[in-house]
Amino acid sequence: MPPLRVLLTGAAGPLGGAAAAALAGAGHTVRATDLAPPPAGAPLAFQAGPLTDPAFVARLLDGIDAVVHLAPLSLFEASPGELLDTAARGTHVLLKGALDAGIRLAVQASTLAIMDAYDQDYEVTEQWRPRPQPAPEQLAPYLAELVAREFTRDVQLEQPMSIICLRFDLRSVTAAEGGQAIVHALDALQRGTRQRGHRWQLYHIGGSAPGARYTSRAAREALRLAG
Amino acid sequence: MKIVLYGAGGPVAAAAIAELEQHHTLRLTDIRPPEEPHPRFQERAEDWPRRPSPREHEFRRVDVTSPDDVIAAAEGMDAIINLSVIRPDPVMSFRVNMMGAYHVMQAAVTHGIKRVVHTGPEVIIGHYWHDFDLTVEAPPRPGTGYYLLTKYLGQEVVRSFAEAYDLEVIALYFHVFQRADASEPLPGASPFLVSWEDTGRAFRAAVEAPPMPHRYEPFIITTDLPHGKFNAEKAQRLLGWQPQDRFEGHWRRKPSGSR
Repeated sequence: MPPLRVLLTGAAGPLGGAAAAALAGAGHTVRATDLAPPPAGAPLAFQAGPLTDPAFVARLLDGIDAVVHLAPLSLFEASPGELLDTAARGTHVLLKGALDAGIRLAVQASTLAIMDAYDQDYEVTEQWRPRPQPAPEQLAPYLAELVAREFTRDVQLEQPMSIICLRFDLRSVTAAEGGQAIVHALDALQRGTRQRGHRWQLYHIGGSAPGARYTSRAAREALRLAG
Repeated sequence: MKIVLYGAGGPVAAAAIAELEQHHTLRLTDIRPPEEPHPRFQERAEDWPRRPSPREHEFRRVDVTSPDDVIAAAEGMDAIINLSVIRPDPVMSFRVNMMGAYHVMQAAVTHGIKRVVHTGPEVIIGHYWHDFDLTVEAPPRPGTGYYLLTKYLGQEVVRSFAEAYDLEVIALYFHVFQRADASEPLPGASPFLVSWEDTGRAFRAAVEAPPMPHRYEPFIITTDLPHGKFNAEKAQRLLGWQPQDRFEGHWRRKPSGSR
């Protein structure tokens, strides 16, 4: 697949560093952003700012081919309400900006914690309804999912986006596994995969650790993941 | 019952208050004080609901984006009605419709108030324009526009609270409101409409209804319609709400030459 110029949001969050390294390792060019630089120091091409600012986002998206949106997993705000606003509105500003800039491909991160309310013995897959608790760390990525999904299927959009949403179990996924899943998702988008024809695709990334709660055959097959 | 209303300055609130004030004690809250009503109240005074026997009510100025204001206003109440809404504003639609819903549900949990009446626009019209037999359980398809999308996000916030805290949320979904004597339908609107008076009665039914089968129970609030597209059978069955105003003249053929 030809290399892409990728905008990486939430770059200072739990998967940001690994995602940046994996994307660069796969030959992509990465522009990274977050509200503040990561503690270990900002990578090259890092710009700090809020995704809720359309002018800032338009500058971020200039010359970009695809978006990797990890910010819904790494938000820190003064209050739960502000956090939800940043997650949902920030995602809307980002994807609307992407559409305006002619960008059609995105990978978005969410959390498998929104499936934890089910009995532990159930083999919960992507086909189960999310049951988010009203805690901001669950509601924020869940609401961001709902925003993004509309950008792939709103009949009012001339050319909707194609988005792969990866729900990570951050308790069992290593940073390296997370970064690889993101690279594979970007590859799948470039190949033009569709999940039963849909431009919105959803995969569970539970990691390969023994005893990991979530596994996904759909993710292994569609994203060509090992294990 | 003692009921707090958020967004009590709008027209749907006026319809709710007109009915509820005859039976319950109300605490009204809005970002605007009553002496400064929304400008559209003046512009559209002829079309908007009236209160046949108005009473004085406690009023508190509350911005639903402020959690402390919202939580304080629910103290001592038995039920909550959330009518706050901002339509297509790219910033405030998210803050009022989604974040405000979060704060209202925080208030319910803080004060142990189980009955919450949530409100919103239908999100099953645009995408389903060519479909029929639509029920309130049809999966929401709000699209990317600010108003419907943010109200949908607010619904999901409310549902999450309702299921986690075992609340009794009744969600009333509306599309078009008209005066009972309106002779013409609104141009271009989907048939999904209700009179202001029936709207008020729906709020009373929602506040007084027994516990529902689900913690978050949504209802289409429309009059009886012959189109085979939407119906309020569920509201009639579970809330005991019967629309009185039928708008028959909207879809009866006019005698030739009369229009």
